[in-house]
Amino acid sequence: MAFHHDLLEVARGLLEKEYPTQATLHRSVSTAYYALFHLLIHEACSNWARPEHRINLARAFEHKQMLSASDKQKAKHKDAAENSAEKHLFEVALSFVQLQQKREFADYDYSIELSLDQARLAIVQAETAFRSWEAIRNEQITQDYLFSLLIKDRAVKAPEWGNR
Amino acid sequence: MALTTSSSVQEQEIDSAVHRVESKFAKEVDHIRYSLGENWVGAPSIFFRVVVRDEASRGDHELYELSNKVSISLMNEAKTDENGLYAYFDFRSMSEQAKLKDPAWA
Repeated sequence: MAFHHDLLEVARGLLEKEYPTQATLHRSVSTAYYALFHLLIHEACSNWARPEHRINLARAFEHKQMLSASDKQKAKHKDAAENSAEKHLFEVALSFVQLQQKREFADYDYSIELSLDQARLAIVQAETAFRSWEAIRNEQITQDYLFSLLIKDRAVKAPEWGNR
Repeated sequence: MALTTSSSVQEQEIDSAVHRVESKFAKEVDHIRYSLGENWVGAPSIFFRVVVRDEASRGDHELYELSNKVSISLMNEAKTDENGLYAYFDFRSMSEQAKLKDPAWA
């Protein structure tokens, strides 16, 4: 099984303990984010024709650029029709943005006491994002999104002609 | 930090937006709180904390569907994207809040 699927199982497994502690809840939320993070990177790198370069290519992704790209898609498609490719992409992008910030709190802010509901929701967000991804992975908008996770949008700027 | 006029106006607009969403989802949502701050990259952000009724949070799927609807509604009503705010949403049930007694969620 692929690494990102394993991570998702780990995240779910942590919640299935009889008495989840704050440590298991925090680890579960963090792992749910990394499952989605690695799914997206895996999918993007799969587009690279030479497999021997994919591991190094995967290291080029930055959380901040992925946030920016995902937030744009979230804003663009939030009112898309149910079950459309755009709506599925919205679910992936929204989950990514939400889980990324939750991971920050889960990993670094010990003052935050997580509830089981919050951790459950994080796992379901990741699981739903995986399903949405499967539904749209070959769509053009999905492939454009993957590209934007790595490459900043550089709008072509018209030349500025000075006054003479 | 002192509030400027514009941020005070913005908070009033957000308060009204939150009330509208609370009314819209009154059957499922008990109350919504929020705070303004920065996300992990230091960008202006709004953090919503939604306390949902226990009946609405029992199943994973129900909780997820509700969280999506409430999140979209809050984004649209509070115009978070238009106001340049990253919007973040957290949900917990009333019974879990009763156990944790977190004042930020009360």
